[in-house]
Amino acid sequence: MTATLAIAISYSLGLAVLGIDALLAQRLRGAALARVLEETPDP
Amino acid sequence: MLTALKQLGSPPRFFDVSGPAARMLAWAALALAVPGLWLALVGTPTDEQQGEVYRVLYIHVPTAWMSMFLYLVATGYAVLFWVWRSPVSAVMMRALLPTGAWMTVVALVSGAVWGKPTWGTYWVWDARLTSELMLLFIYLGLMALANLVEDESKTDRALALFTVVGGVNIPLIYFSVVFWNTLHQGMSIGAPGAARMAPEMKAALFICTFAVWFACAAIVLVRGRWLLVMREARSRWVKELPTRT
Repeated sequence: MTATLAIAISYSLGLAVLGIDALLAQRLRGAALARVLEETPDP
Repeated sequence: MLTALKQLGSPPRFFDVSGPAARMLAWAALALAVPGLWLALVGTPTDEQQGEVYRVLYIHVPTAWMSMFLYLVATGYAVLFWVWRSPVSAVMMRALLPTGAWMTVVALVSGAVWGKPTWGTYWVWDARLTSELMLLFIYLGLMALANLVEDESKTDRALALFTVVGGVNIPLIYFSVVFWNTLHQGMSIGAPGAARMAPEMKAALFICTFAVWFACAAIVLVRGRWLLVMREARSRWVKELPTRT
């Protein structure tokens, strides 16, 4: 394990994780709005 | 303070505040991440003893701190849930778990790849490393419990209880380098007799820490916000959402 590889793995993992976590959190918006529609009775 | 906290315990109020707060935190994280990354990778001098590999610490230390801090906040929300039974406390307790688990994974992996060139091994069953691994298992266990049944509110009380119980591990991680003779280095910041850091390295570390802190806070708020809408889908304030967003 070279220093460059260790740095590359750590920073790419850190940034990827933050990005994925942010996307997963934002995806809940769609699921939440779908649940609201489900719970809304048809007029 | 208590009144403000109680007001934030109101689901519609939390929904209204969390959206702009998350946006603001995300921009703050981005604004700090750019200089933080530059300082971490290029702008700070090479460490005299460790060489270039020490730069891993600018991501390892903030994520390790965050893994413990997010758990402490989840424990705080668990206690608040027991006191007020507020749905906001319940969803925030849940929203913190995945981000905390991710931070623990980054801390463990970055620590391992730093350890190989520095210690000569990826892993040792040292008290600090083992207690941090335990934290990951606690996060995963709580996430499994949180998603055990479809009606999430049924697991709230058990989740709050186990979150508080798991909190015992946090001081264990933090003070493991004091209580036991570990391969992991002792505290570098804040403790009497701690190893001294060059001011520019310390500044870079704090910039990276705040960038990670703001990013995590933004993500947790977004997750908590929409978990709250899912949970309160039948409430009147949710039906009025188009007029709020």
